[in-house]
Amino acid sequence: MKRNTLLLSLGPLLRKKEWFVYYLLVVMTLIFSALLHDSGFFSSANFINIMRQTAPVMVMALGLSFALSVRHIDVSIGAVVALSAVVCGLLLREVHMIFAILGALSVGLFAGVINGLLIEYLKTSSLLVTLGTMSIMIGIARSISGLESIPITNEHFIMLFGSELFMGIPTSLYWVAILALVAWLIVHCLTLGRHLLAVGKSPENALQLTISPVKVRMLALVMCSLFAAFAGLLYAARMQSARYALGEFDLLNVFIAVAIGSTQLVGNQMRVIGVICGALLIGLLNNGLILLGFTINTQLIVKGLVLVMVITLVHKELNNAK
Amino acid sequence: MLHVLRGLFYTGFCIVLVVMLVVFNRVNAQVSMPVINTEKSRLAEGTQTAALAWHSSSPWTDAVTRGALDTFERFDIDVIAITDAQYDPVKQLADLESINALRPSFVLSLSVDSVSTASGYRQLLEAGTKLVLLSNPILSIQEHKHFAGLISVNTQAMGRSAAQLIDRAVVHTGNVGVIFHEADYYVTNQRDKAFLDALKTYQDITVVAKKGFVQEQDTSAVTMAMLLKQPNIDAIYVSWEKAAEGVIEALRMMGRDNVKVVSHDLGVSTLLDMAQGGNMYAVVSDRPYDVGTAMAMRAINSQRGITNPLLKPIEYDLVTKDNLEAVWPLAFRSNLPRALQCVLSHKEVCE
Repeated sequence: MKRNTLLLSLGPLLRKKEWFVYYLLVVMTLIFSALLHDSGFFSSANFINIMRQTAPVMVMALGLSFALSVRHIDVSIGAVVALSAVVCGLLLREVHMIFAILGALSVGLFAGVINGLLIEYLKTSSLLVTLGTMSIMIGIARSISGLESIPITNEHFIMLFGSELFMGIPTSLYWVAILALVAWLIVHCLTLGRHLLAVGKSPENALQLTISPVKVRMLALVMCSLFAAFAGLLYAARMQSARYALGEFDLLNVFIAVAIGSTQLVGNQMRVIGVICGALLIGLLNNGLILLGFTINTQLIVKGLVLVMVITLVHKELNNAK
Repeated sequence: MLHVLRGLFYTGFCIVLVVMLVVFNRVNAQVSMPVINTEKSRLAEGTQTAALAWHSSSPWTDAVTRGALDTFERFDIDVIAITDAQYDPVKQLADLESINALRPSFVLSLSVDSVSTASGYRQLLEAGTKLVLLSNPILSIQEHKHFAGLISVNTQAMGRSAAQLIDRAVVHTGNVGVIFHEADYYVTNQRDKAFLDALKTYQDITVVAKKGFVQEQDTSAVTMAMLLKQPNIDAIYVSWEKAAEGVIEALRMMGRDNVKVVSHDLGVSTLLDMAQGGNMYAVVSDRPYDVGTAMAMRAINSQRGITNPLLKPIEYDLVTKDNLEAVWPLAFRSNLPRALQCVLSHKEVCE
């Protein structure tokens, strides 16, 4: 009888599709902990490692969620990461750290505005426009870096954004927490958040509510690029260098993180904690599979299988909900 | 109730998935190389362990890995992880941090970027792991007491040999196009520079075009542009064999079967072209299996306190169609791939 009551009380929790990412995170942690009980997986040092490695992907995924919430796809975020890191690295040699940080964030701001103008005022596809701006920014990053890594030796910068520990936690994670809080506040407490979701749900209805869908979508693209530029700062400090290829390989992981963390990829929703957990799951998988001795090919297969499994489940739930 | 069952089903699915992949991974590993012991790490008492953190995957890297694994096996050292950074320094840094959690006794690695990945290597050294690097030096860690050494192929001699092969390809007189690796990557940069320096000593050979590339897939377009501008090119030098595939593809498309290609390293596709009398004229190849052996021995000797071991320098070969069959086993310690055997034995249909 007691058991039945427990199952009945668990039922509504398990039924929530948006909780799936948390179940998966717990299940994966338990599986890896069991399989890797003698190899240091279940240690605070390793968990800090995972969080540290995933921090820039978390920030990029949060930014991408803004763009996706208004049904825009921004594939230029990897290039924004590279260009902002390179700009920061070059400026750190010449000017005070504050100006270098502002310079890097300006890259994000500028990229977001350009993407927004081209998409909204020329009425072109966000995917195609951001493919173009991605190419331009990669070219600029390669050109100004001379295809070399730019060493970063500014200790204050490394301490502020990098992997230095503050009260036992890497500083980069404090930034993730701050940015997640900012994103959460925007979505849940500010009018902008409601506008984002309204425009994502139906631009026509939004117009009736006297919201300008164009402005809202542009703001979403600017937020997306700004978050990517911030990820560039985190990468530059973590790697203690800026390289033209930073972020280039992250696009797949970022999209997977958002897909796993959200119950629907585009429009009408933005789940901050879910996206963070989605990114964390990717980091956990990468780490656990390496420790298990898996080859890179098998790692890719596992990541793909997890994504397919999650998408299948979510789609099923959505179909059921209809 | 249905949802509880569904939740349990997916949890079960995850467990089965991981178990299946563990089995798949081990079977896969047994096919290509000796079994990686994932159960043991230095955390287990008294066990010596090693990990290999590579820059990429290729037949060349596989041969280095085999050399290292065979050597470690002889000394009863378990290899607990092999990673592939796919030329991404961010991934390599994450790989090194993950490997560090296993606390291996030895790490053998080829760094993607000596600046960006330095902190990952430093962490390993601080944890007491003996580190041996291949080809790309990292100056900031070389003084560390646990840094066991750098194994390097002779890039200067290999560059000079490539110039010698170009001289043979154009029969001492002709125009040459150079497609060099433009990204900052120590070993290829050194080889390309040595080649260009050596080529200056051949007075009747002129470099008429020089173009850089960053990614291997760019070389096809670079070759086409180069030949449109300079149709009088007799031979092309390109930094390594995978990049040479794009050059050969472009030459085939343009119908330029009179242009000869010289490069570095052994790869099946380019060697097939060479064996069939195509554009690929010759390559300079080091011996990757020996490289792996030398790296593992350097690590083991360092552990034993032997700081200046008498290791043979890594040899290299000048490979043409005539000696290809003999050089492959020397380089890879494996049989010549079947496709190459078929072409070289002139069998129309190879069963």
